[in-house]
Amino acid sequence: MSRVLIAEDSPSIRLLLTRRLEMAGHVVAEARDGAEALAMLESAPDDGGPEILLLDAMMPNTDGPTVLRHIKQADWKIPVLVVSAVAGLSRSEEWQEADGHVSKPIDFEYLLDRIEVLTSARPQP
Amino acid sequence: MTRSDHLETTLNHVPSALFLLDPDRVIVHRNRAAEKLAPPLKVGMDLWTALGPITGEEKVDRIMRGERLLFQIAPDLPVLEWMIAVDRPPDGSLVLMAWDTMITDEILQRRTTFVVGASHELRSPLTALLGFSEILELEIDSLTPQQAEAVTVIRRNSQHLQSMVDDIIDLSKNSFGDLSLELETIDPTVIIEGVPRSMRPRIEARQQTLTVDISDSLPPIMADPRRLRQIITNLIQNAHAHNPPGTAIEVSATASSKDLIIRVADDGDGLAFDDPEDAFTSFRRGSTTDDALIAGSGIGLAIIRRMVELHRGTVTVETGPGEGSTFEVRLPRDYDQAKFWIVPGNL
Repeated sequence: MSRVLIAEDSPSIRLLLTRRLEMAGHVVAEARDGAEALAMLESAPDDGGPEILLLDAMMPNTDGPTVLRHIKQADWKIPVLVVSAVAGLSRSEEWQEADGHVSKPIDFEYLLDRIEVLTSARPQP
Repeated sequence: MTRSDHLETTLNHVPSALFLLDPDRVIVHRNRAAEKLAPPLKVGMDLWTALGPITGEEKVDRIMRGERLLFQIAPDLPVLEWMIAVDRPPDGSLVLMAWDTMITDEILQRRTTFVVGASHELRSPLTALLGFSEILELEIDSLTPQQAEAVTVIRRNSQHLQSMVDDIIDLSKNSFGDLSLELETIDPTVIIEGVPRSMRPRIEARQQTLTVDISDSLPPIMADPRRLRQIITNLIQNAHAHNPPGTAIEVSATASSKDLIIRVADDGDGLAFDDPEDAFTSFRRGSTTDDALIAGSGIGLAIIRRMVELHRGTVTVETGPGEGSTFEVRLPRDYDQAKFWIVPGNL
């Protein structure tokens, strides 16, 4: 069970991710764009905040790469899983710092597995 | 003025670049427009040596095959449309033309952006469709039989749609030259054995038979293993999906002095096209026997042909209604030499 933050601008995909993750026993918070995601991460309590971020690659208002850069530069210890419609994004420079990639359509077994691996590997605060 | 003067004057004032290539594809003459529009293509160079370093050999192959291509020689030169004349002089020479279409590099870039954008636009709703139908299927035991059936049909068709979107995106990437091959010298036996092995369970589940007949010691060839796997998988999948239970499918591989020859044959329904070549250009699928299996196969053959051509090979089919089908893929043993066998054909 992990606390997952989703940053995704499409309401249908947001709902889909929330449902599937809740069905797998996770606790989910939603952000509608990059700016909201960063705001939620900044105001999160030290020990009860999100443990992993699912970041949509293409969003308006503070885009994906900007969010990723911000998190890595601020050295927030939260793994970032990028979700994108375009395959091969993992080879592009601006996404190099991401902790994992999931492409659409989403293979949920793979996604849930990635979440488990990334959240158990993170260093305890 | 003599007739020769007339010709000279005309040639040198035609605003399109004109090149005469000898049967070895060496440039033996170019007009004044060619000097201005495509300076690096000089007399005495063969086309691959001249154009290869600028655009990549694959684009040269495609021009030689008769395709019209748009590209820029250098950032300060206009984007030109290139075309080989299909009507060739009897001695095997070729005429190559290039003209300024006024299409800017910016417009070309927009096409790539379009593909990327379209891919996102199409894949997001598909993600939702597939995702939610999967959720319903997880609860299938608590649905009524009609609901369960509806959910299964929705999920299956969503997958079909997804397959076709993938194919369309692949195809459009290919026409913009973005479908890349990573060629390496490989032992084809591994792939030609491996693909049928992994597909055997689903074929036998449909009461079809699969036999594999591979010659000993197939020669190594230059190929992209991922694409070769895709080609063979697609051909077997087509034989499997388009034919009824009881069909026999055979995969065989031999070598001639020139080529590696891979055949996928079935004794099923055959393709319902007047000209078997149409199978590679038409989106029609011929007969369909079972919705569930025909995922994306409408565009599949066009892509297979593209991929085979990227290997400088050929793919043909022998078929007829009720006569089964035999697909034959020929891949050259000498990839480099094979470029000289490309001739402008009917596209």
